[in-house]
Amino acid sequence: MSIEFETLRGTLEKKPPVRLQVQDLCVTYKSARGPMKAISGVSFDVEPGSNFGLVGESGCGKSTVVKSLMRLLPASATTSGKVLLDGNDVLAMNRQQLSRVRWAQIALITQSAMNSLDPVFTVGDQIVESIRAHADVKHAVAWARAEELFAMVGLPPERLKEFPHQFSGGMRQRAVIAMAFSLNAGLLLADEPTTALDPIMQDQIMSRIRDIQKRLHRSMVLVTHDIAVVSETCERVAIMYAGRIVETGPTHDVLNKAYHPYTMGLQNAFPKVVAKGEKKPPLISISGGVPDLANPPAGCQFAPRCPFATAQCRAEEPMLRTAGNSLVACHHMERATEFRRAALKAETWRVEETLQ
Amino acid sequence: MRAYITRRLLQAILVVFVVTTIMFFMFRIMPADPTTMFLEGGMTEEARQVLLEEWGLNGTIWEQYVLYMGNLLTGDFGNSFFYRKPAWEVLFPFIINTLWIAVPGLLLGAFIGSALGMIVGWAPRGGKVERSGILLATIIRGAPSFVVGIGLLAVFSSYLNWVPGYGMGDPQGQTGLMRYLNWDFAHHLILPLCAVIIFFIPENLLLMRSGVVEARTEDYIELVRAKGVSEKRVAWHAGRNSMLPLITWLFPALAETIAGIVVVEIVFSWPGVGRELVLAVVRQDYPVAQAAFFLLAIMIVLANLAADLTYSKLDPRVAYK
Amino acid sequence: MSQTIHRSVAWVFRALLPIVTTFRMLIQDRFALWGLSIFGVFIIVAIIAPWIAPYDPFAPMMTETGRLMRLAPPSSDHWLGTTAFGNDVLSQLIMGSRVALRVGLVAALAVGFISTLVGVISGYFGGIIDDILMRMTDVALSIPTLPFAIVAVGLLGPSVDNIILVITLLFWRNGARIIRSVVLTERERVFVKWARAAGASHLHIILKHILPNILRVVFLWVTMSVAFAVLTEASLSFLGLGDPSITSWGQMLNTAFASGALRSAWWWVAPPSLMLIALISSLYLIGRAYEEQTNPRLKDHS
Ligand SMILES: Nc1ncnc2c1ncn2[C@@H]1O[C@H](COP(=O)(O)OP(=O)(O)O)[C@@H](O)[C@H]1O
Ligand code: SF4
Ligand SMILES: [Mg+2]
Repeated sequence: MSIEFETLRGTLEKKPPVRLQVQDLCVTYKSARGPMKAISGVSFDVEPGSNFGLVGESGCGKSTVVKSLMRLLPASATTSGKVLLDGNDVLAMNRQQLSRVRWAQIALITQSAMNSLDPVFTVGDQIVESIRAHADVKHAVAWARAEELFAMVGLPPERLKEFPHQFSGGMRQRAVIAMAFSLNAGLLLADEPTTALDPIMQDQIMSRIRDIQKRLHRSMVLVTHDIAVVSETCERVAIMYAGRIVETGPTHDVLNKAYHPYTMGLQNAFPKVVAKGEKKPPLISISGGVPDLANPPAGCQFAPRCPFATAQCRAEEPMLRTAGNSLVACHHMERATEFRRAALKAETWRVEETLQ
Repeated sequence: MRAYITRRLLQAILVVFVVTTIMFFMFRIMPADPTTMFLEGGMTEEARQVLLEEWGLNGTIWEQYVLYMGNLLTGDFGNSFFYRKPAWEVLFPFIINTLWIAVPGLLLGAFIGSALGMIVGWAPRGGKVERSGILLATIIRGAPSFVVGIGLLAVFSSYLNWVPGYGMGDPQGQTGLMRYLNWDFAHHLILPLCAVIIFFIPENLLLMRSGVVEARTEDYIELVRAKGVSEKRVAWHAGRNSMLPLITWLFPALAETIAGIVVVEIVFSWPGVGRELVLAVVRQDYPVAQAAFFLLAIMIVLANLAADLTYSKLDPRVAYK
Repeated sequence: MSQTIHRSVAWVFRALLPIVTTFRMLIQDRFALWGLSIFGVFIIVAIIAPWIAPYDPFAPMMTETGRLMRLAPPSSDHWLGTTAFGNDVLSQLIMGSRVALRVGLVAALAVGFISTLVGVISGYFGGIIDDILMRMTDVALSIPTLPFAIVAVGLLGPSVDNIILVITLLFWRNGARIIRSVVLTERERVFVKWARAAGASHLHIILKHILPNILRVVFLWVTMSVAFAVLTEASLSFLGLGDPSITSWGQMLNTAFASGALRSAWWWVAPPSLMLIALISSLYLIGRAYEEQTNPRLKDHS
């Protein structure tokens, strides 16, 4: 048995990180009010072994992107574009190819880890299930692997025999993380892995994911609406709004030298990490809500909420263009310096509210 | 665990006690005096008293009640007016006959029904499989079991003449278990058993379907699918979770579903407790009717108990309290 | 005075509103629409039965030569043939719809009334009253349905009224449970608390705030009870415990079965069987659609 176990570990360790290329991804949901274009032309690359952040307000389509990478969307969704894993298009795979790629090459840490475990099976059996779906090993071997994974996330291995309801929220989340690493997949999708937890736990879990991921040298797509987490974790980031990427580039550039008004607004809405002695700027939220995707506005999707919107913005949709190291979709990105200064003032955003 | 079972048992006994009491008084407030049925007109008052005594019908109603309950505890259900022997002796063989169609019928019906329900629940929403599955199940559910029985009888017995449609055969000289383990018995068993199975399928199917439809939007199903297991295995997760609501429904519903079995016994002249109950009521043989009713109530209480225990086995979240 | 009338009319309107919306919701479901149509046809037939039934259901039919028409197959005079006793099957079939619907509707309304009463009192007041009522339903739930009906009708005598009584006694229990649980959630709703704090009387709260909100569930339970009642009446009649003075479908099947006409006279056996299936299924179709529409987790979104 132990030989079998070593063989399993050997093959898993040899797995290289995956290169992910998403090209012109579009997703449309059928809804009662007609088709709803949840994702429009999203493209991004994740270099092997790097972390890619996906940021945006809730409802902007982050989970839809993540799910479409694994083809987990419900039948009511139609997907187009390409999702290339080391060059192989996931969206073009047949069922068999798909189930071979799932978990072995892309694993998932879901948004609601609280409900992500089947309540009527033991946690251990669920991890074992993921291993044995891909590796032809005995139950005992897979169980030994599960014990190892539990140790890795800091859970006592004997609790593998327990059911999800016997775990606390944080433990469940760690169990889900352990499961995500069970086959050492080359690409990890983490969809808001900590939203359901309290802040202290969030920090712990996030740094654990970071550690493991760095040690195992995996690629990762990290979805969050927390800019601080992105800046700590990801080399590159994409800001999403209404199913589109509005700004993408190296994390440092995007966060420190934003070109898109939405990125600026988003930063205002989050507590900043500031140097000692420096005054913390007040939190300013962007007024208004995400547009109705079944009935989207013409032109720039952000225009109804954008303090700098012009007639052109309301008529023409901006395309992604290069700005510094980033790509930005804003008609007026040349005025970014001016916008950045204005965006720091709360009035800039408030004025718009009264105008609306 | 033991404390839990003890408590549930005590509850069950209490329920049986109350049901028995209700039943006792129900029988005693009947308009007719049973002795008038069986005593010829010219009987002396003395002989009448002797018979009343024998049947436990003398004294005030309270005295009769205490006597009856006391006798019940010792397993004495009184003497049948009709057979002129203890009601228990009359009923005992019928109980086994009823169990022969009820238990396999219930289990097979639940199994087939939930398997089909899983298929219908897993089929695409609004598709052909779902719509026709639901429609068929609802129509079969709407068919009274005697209609199903008559249909089976007309087709397979009267028309095709494949299987007998009456009674349970009479194996010559066979005793004990061998009475049942022979082809003749099996031959007779097929139709009534099928009727009971058909009776149980639709509700199991519909419940399982709703359960699966609800489960398939759960997050854990998505994660199971993400693991790259076969679609069958994903469906199994949904089905396994849907068994819980099914169990909560299945056993308590026995109170209602016993009805199906009674009627099936009548249609196929299957000598079971239900048929005997009907016959006893028609014959005004109250001790037997009372005993049969009592036995059917016990079956339901026991089934409820079994449901609770099964449920806690199937759902790890249930703790014995 | 006129204000009281005005207020009660307003109340009735508000109370009926959920039923209207329920109805609107139901006709959007194709199956429920079928169910409602079939049920509607049955009601119409039952109402005009005496005028459309070609013969007296119990009148013996005679041939031209003056002999009893026993088991005559369908003909232009007798569309569905005759029974072993020379009765016209079609006439019995048409008249049989009356018993089924009378028992079904009256018993279901009674069941709905008692279930609502027990459910509301139990759920609204809680505490000891709730405990007692719920223990009562526990016991009632252990009573085997048809055996109880058989015994009770056997003891009380087989008449339509007794059958209705027995069915009512049997089916209030499940309804009471369901309605109680709905009342429990309604009671917790903010506006009830608000109304209570403002010093409203219990009766006022129940009538004004709770009842209108549970009417949909009551409506569903009444629909299902019609089906149970029809089924129970048919079963009793089939067992020979129906009202002998009236024709019913169960009774037709009983006589057909007892006279051994299963094989020979399909025209006698099939029509009442189909009528029962159609009527009961139509009610189940309505009930199912209702559940499907009100349970958000069953709604089509996957
Ligand atoms: N199964 C679905 N059917 C229809 N619309 C959906 C479905 N899932 C998500 N949506 C819609 O798609 C949009 C994007 O949702 P989602 O990807 O979950 O956003 P995020 O993860 O960024 O919060 C939302 O407007 C949401 O309402
Ligand atoms: S395109 Fe116009 S509306 Fe859109 S973000 Fe840029 S400035 Fe604002
Ligand atoms: Mg999301």
